[in-house]
Order: sequence, then C-alpha cells, then structure tokens
Amino acid sequence: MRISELRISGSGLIVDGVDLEVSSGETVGLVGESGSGKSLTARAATGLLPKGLRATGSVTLDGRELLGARERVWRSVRGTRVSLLMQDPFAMLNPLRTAGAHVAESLRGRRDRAEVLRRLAEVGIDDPDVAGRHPFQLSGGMRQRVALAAALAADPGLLIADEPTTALDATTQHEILMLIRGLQRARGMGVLLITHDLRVAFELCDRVAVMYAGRIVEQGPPAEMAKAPAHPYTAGLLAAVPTVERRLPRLIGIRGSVPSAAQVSATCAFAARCDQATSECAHARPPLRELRPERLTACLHEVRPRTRVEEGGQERRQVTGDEVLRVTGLRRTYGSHVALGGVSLHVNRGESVGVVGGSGSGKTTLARCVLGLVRPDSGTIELADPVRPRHQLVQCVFQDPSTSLNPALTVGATLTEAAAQGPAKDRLTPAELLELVGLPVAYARRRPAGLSGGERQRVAIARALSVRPALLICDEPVASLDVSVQAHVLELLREVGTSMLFITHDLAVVRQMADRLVVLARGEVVESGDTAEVLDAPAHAYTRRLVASVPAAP
Amino acid sequence: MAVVKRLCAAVLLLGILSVLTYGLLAAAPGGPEQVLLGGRPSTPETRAAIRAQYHLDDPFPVRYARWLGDALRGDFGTSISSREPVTTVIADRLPVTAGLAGYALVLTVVVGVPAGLAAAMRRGGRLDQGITLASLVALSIPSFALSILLLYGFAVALGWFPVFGAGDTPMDRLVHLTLPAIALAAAQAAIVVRQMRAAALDLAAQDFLTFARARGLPRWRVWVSYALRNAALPVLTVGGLLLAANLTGSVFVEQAFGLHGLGALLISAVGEKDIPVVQALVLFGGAIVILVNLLIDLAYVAVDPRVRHKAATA
Amino acid sequence: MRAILVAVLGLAAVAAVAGSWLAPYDPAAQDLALGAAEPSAAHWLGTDDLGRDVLSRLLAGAGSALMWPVLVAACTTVLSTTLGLLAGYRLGWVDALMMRTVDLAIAMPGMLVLIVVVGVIGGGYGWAVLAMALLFTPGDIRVIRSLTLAQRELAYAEAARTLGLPASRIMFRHLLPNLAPTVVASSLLSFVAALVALAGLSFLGIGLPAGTPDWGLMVQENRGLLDLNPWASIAPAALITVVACAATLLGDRAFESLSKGGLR
Repeated sequence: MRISELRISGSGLIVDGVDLEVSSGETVGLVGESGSGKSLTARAATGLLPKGLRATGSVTLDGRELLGARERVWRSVRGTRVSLLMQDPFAMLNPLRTAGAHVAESLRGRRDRAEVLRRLAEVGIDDPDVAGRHPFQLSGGMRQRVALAAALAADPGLLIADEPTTALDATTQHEILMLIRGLQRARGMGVLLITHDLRVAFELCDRVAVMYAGRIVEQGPPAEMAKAPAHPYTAGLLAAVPTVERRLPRLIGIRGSVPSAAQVSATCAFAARCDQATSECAHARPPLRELRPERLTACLHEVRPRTRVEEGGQERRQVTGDEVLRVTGLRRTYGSHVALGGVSLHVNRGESVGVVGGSGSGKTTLARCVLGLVRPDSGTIELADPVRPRHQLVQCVFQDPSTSLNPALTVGATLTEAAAQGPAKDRLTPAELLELVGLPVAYARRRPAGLSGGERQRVAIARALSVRPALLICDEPVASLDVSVQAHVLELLREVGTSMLFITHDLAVVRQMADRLVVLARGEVVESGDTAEVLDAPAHAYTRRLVASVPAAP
Repeated sequence: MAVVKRLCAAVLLLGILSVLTYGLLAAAPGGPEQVLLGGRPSTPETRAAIRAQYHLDDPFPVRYARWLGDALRGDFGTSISSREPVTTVIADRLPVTAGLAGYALVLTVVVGVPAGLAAAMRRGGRLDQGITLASLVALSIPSFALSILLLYGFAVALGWFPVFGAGDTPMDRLVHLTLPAIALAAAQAAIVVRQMRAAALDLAAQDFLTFARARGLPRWRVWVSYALRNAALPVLTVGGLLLAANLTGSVFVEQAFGLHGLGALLISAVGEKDIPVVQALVLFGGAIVILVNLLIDLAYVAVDPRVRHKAATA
Repeated sequence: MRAILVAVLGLAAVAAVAGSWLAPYDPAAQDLALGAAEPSAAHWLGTDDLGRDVLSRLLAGAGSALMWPVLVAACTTVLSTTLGLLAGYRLGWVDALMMRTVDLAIAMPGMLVLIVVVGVIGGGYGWAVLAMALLFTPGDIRVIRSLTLAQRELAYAEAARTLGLPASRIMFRHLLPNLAPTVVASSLLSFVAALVALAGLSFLGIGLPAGTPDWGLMVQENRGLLDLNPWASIAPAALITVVACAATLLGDRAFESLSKGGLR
C-alpha cells in the first residue's frame, strides 16, 4: 500500500500531507501523540473515514487507486486485501453475536466449525468453548484475539492495527504484540501498526514514521532513530520516555502543547516548541528530505544531541522513621470477586511507595479504601495523626484529567474551596497554589475547559496539596497524558516532596517515582522491596512477567 | 429467575391497581350506596336492598376479595346508567377503539421508522432538521387540539372526510377513522422517530459497525445482524410509552371526533359516576399496559444475550 | 428562531398576568341575539353560541391555563431534582426505596388515573395540580438519578468527597451545575406536559364547572360551532399548541446550548 499527499479535513485541516508506504512482509510503525492524525490516516487507508471528513491525495493498493473509489470497490478490497484492527476490544465486537460467529461471517469459502476453531487456534485460543461465548463473557485480551482472528479471516495482505493493545494490561499487551508479530511472519503479510507508544513501535517495527500535527516529521529504521534522532520532536519524545532500567535524575518533557495541523500548515509544525528553531523554520514548511536511503526528516537543521542533565532537580524529600500510613490486613470483596484479599503495607514520612499491578489487581480499591471512598470489609488503616480528620491527612490525584476538575467551577473557586478544608493556620491562596505547580496566577479565572490535559492535572495536584496533607495518593496520574506532557507532571510530583503512594500499571514510570515498590496481583501483595532491587531482580513469577512485558527502552 | 421476578412485579402492580380501583367506590362522594343507587329514589328500603345486594355491611377486605373474585371471572357487575352487564357494555364499544388503536399503530410504524432512519442518515442536513422539528412539534401538540385542527381543516373546510361517527362497512370505517388515527398517531410517531434516530446515530458511532465494514462483510449482513438487531433494543424500550400514549390519546381523540369507543365510555361513566364501568375500564387499561411492559421485558431477555445471561445467573 | 420562541412565551406570560385587563369585553357577558358570529371589527375572533366574545374569554383564561402548569413544573422540578440527587448520591436504602416506588409509579397509566380520580372524587384544579406534580415527578427523578450516578463516579466528585466536603455541598454546588442542561430542559418539558394535561382535563369537562373561560373547555364547548364560528374552538386549540411547541423547542435548544458550552 502506498499513501501519498494524504490530506484529511473536516471543519479544519487535520492531516496535512502524509506519505507512507507499506510492503508485504514488513511492519511499519506510525507513531504520534493524541491528535496527531494517525488514527484518521488509518481510517482513510481503509475508506472508513467518519462522516463529515474528506480525504484528498492518493491511497493505492497494488497500484490501484482507492481514494474516492465507490463503496463497492472498497468492500471488495476490505477483509481480503486490507483489514483494520481497532483499539477498544470492548466496543469492536457485536455484543449480540458469539465469538465464533464473528470469525465465521468473515471467512471466505469454507465456513464450517472446524475452520472457525482452526482460526481461533491460530490466535492462541485453544479452548473450543470460546467460539460459543458472547463478547461480554470474554476478557479484554480474549476479545482482542477474537477480533484479530476475524480481521484475518479473509487472509488480507495488509493488516492495519490501530492502537491494538492500548486498552489492555501490560502483560496482555505484550502477548498480543508478540502474536501480531508471529502472525505477520508466518503469513508474510504487511502490518501498519499505529501507536502512541514509541517503545512499542521500536520493539516491533522494521520501519517507524513519527507523526506530529498531521504530518510525518521523521522516518527511518528504529535502531538508527533511537541512536540519532533526525528531528528535534523525536529527540524530545525519546528524552521524555521514562525507562524501567534506571532512575533518571531529571525527567524532561517538551514545553508548550501540540498545535492543530491548520495552525502550522505553512511553517515547521514543531517550530514553536523547538529549542533549535531559527527564523527559517517559521517562514516556510520544511519538506520531508532524505538524509540517506530509508532515512527521512522534515527538519532543516542537524539535530543537536540532547544534553543529558545528570544532576537532579531539588528533591526536598527526606525519609524519616515515622509512618504516615500503615495498612494492615485490608480486605474488600464485591460479591464473589475479591478486590483486596488482606493487603498490608506502610509509607514512611517523606517516602514514595509505588504500587503496581494489572487491572483487577486491587490497586485502585486500595487507594479508595485509604481515601475513605470505599469501606473495607476488614483490616485497619492508620494515618499519621489519629486526631486530625482524614481529609487533612491524605489527598489524591486522580487519573483522568478530563474529569478531574469540576467543569462548572473556575480554577480559583476549586482551589479556594479545597484550601478552606485544610487547617485554618497559614491557609494557602489560589495564587500560591498555582505558583507551586508552575502555572500562571491568571489561570485562577479560567474554567477547566480552557486548560490542556497536563495543566488540569497540575491544578488537580494543587488542589490535593492545598490542605497540606501528610500523604499524597497518585492513582495513575499520568496514564491519560501524552509522553511529552507526562514528564513535566512526574517531575512536578517529584519536586513537591510529600510522602506518596504512587499507583500505576507502568513499571517505567514507577521506577522514576518510587523509593519502595509493592507488587499487587489479584488483591494480594506478591512482592515488595526497594524499587531498584525488585525491578532488577524480580523474585515472584508475576513480577517477572510484568518486567518481561515492558518494551525494551529505545 | 429474573423472569419470575418480573412476573411477580407485574402481579403486584395489578394488585395495587385493583385495590385503588375498588377504593374508588368507597371514595366517591356520597359513599357507595349513593353511587350504586344511581338515579333511583333513595328510600330506606332501596338503600337496604342495595346494602344487601352489594354486601356493603361486610368489612372492606371481604368486599374487595368478593369483587376481585368476580372480576377475575369476568363479572364486573352491572352498569348503573344502562343497567346492562359491564362486560356487554365494554364489548359493544371495543371494536371502535381497537380499530382506531390498530390504525394509529400502523401509521406510527410506517411513518416513524423510515423518518427516523432518514433523519439519522442525513444528520445535520435540511431533512434531519425538518424531521426533528416536526417530531418536536408533534410531540407537544395535545391530541385534542390536533383533532380539532384536523377536523376543521379536512372535514369542515375541505370536506374530504366525514365530520362525525365511525362508519359501518369496513371501507367506510377506514375513511371515518383516518383523521382520528392521524391525530392519535402523531405523538407516538414522534416518539418512534426520535428513538429511531438516536438509536441509528448511536449505532453509527459504534466501533463494531466500523469493524464489520473493515472486514468487508456484505452490506446486507452489516444491516441485518449488526445495525437492525442492535437498534431494535432501544426502540423496543419505548413500546410501553407508546401504549400509554395510545390509551390516553384515544380518550381525547374519541371525545373530539365523537366516536363511541372505550375512551368516550370512560368519560361518560366518570361523568355519571357509573363506578362499575369505570372500575372495569381502569383495570382493563392497566392490565394491558402492565402486560405489554412485561412482554417487552421478556422480549429483551430473548434478544440480548447479556440480559439473558444475567437472568440465568441472578 | 430562539428570539421568536422567547417572544411567543413572553406574549403568553403577559396575557397570563394582565389578560383580564386587556380583554375588550366582560368574558361572561352574553349577547344571545348575536349568537355564534364570525369574526368582525367589534369581535376580532367572533362570539360563541351565547354571544360571548371569544378573544376576551381567551385572554381571561390565559392566567389559569399558564399559571397552573408553571406551578406544576416548579413543584416537579424542585421535587425531582432534590430526590433524584439524593437517591443518586446517597445510594443505599434511600435509593432502593425510592427507585422501587418510582418503578411502580411509572408503570401506572398516569393520565387515566388522573382522569378517574379527579373525575370521580372531584375537588377541582387544586387536586389536579397536586396529582399532576406527583405524576410527573417519578420520571424526572429517574433521569436526574441516573445522571447523578454517572457524575458522582467522575474524578472531580471523588476529589470533593476526598476533601471532606459535606454531602449537601457536593450535591448542590458540584453535581447540580453539571446537571443544569437536563434540569432546565426537563422543567420546560414538565411545563408543556402540565399545560397539555390540564387543558386536556378541562377539554374532557373534568375539574371545572361549565362556562368557565378556560382554553381546554372552550375547545370542547365550541366544538359544535365549527361551521358557524370555527374560531371559537380553533383559536384556543391553536393557542395551546403554539405555547406548548414554543416551550418544547426552547427546552430543546436550551439543552443543546447548555450542554455544548453554556458552562465553558
């Protein structure tokens, strides 16, 4: 498949001139942060753009022009020549049909039960009963396998996989990626993998294209790109990606936020956020030029290697012996499901303790119990001070920046209200709080809708700190943020220096944040200890699986 | 299990409705004797006769049980105004109302479903805006006001339709019932249009529909086993609402067009304090609504494997 | 479009408040010699069979036709918002009890019950209004409750609870503003439903003595005059229709603009 000069526009320009080629037998990665236009590119390549969006340019498959083709032509191509696997395994399957029916209806030629079972076995489902189950009876990983079997049922030459593992657990994610790679090799098909995760793309792909604000800014083999990025944006992304191998003294994000394609159509898309930008960058749009065969960049300059900052930011934390949290034998069940099966842990003053585990491990229930949002069935929770009310001792930063702030209140009103819940002495003002999290004081008058995801998460941190809590719980605080923003927020959390219970599924993030680590699986602590020791030499089989499923750092 | 639970709820509801209905007799002004006497002279002898005939001296639960027993056997007593058995009175009036309701139902489906789909397909376009506006208007016009406007426009001013009556021959009846059926169907069709449009739009945004197309499934399969089956569920939920609109609406429409159906019967019975007839009609209407809602619940269990699974395990 | 809708409702409000003063004739004054006459310079909308001026009767009836529905809508909105928030936020037995009751109430054919109760037991408008508010509330409770349930799970609501804010403050200061589009829209819909239902009751001759200048009753009483002076019953029918449509459309627009960005 060859995509050239692809432009997609709705009410504004979204994708601005994408050129990309995928041959059979190769895996190409298309990497970009949210809003870069990568998913729409995939949709356009299968003729499935949502209503109201138009594509111009050219999409050819084996030399045949498809863009602008009639639906009948597309239908003859889809499934048999090119197929699309989407992100959300919970939404992709028809809730009213069984797993087997999904595969059977997509088959061409033989449609008997034996063939369906063979196809399911190909994606690693050996239990023949699965064919008769409905999607709601299957786990996320199983659904994604069924979807993959259905997508490949008509033996397409090209599979476009749009964030196929983003909604899955780390270990499942790894299994599905390995499965896609195995199938790609066995069938000799082409794969276009669309992902926001550089590490995933680097691990799996023969060639990687980096997308930014609706265009491709760099393309090349992953090994070379990791070693010497040819575009400052790639370099910035690489610097911002946390690694599981060591604790970086300082996390560096990219300043500013992503522009829309329309805003930057006549300039270098990255110029406004680039440290190397010159006046030329803002005057004309740099073409995607060839550095050497297979290596393309849209930057006019030679990229300076990033100076590694080896001395850290000021870390104010000092670990002392007294405890701010001790949890003993915490149990909580929902019906027959055991969310917490007797969990014990403690956090010392000034210490940052990481809690890791997959979905269903009970890590969020643990946080909610400590916060008092859920009443445990048994077990005790002791906080720093038995006299002060709970809300002055422990506060939380929640995951989703889009809902973490009340859309009806201004930032200032939110912070004032929160601070009023704290001790009466030395109450913090909104201005002080905003300054603390590195936001302009003028933001107090804004409503959350006027803030970016990273800025909202900063306000949420300010709100949590406003009562001067002894313990800050962070429940996946950066899981919904783009990599370039994530680093800023993590660095901020390091700087504020409160004792922390840091909950995450991401081992690379927890390596950067936690002194000590607790690994949860199915509501039980399976391993705990010094972060470096646990991650470098995991003792429990589950921890080993978790560590093994982290994509290698670029 | 869930099926049993729903059956129990339906029976409970019918029970409450019947107590309330029976309570009407006691709550009516002047008390039960006065009501049951109707227009007859009130002398100590007639009063005693009534008390004996209706066992009015028994305690309320006993009276209620006796009444309920009779009602279950299809005996609702005699109408006070016409002195005929209530069941006969109702059977006389049923054909007109049934014809009207059936006619309106056909119109509702024939107009509502395609209009809703068309609006969803042309989302945001002129056609969609027009259909959405029309459905909002149809939803807010009271059926009696619409009846009068139709009656004046098409029957009096243009003279295309008869002004009065329900017609005798089947063809004649169809002509007579056309305007009333339109007046009755308007609000229901609007409900169907809105629900259909919302269901179709919701469906169009679903990943599984895109994924079905991405696998190159034939168009008919995408339509039948993906779009229609999934859209049927939300539309099914308004079935109960439609029926309620139909029952209430027919009272007004029959009154406005001078049709002698059950709705008109209810109003005249209420006016004449003909309590046995009112009781039978309320119980009849209530039972229909409750039964249809039960059927819709059961249909849900049949169509949706998630509900079926819950029903099996709960 | 919006300006037209507001203007229609504004005019209706003026008629409701000052209708009796604006009426050119005494709404009860009869002119039997004139009888049912078509519109003329003296009687803009003609007269009914007793020679009473139709326009004056419409204006005189505007007050009761519109004020009672406003009252019903106000009661319904306050009741359903408070109870719905309470059930959705508190959950537990409060919620279970309330939802069982609501389920039962919704399954009842409400309008039929209203017709029968008000018709048989009597008691006039007061009872009808009270019964109607009780009739409309359960449906709205269910809507508000399900929205509250969705909102209380969101991070901002959890953060408010984590901060130890009192439940009343979370419900009314944090959750309520985010339900505003629905509350506004459903109060307008309650108004329409009450307008239509009350006019319907009087159209059926229930709740009001004959001869009262009331829109619904006028449609019914003058139905036989369609050939003599059609305006006598068409005008009140059209008025009810126009006001009901305007309120519905306004509710629809208000919901869209509020949920799109009224708060942003």
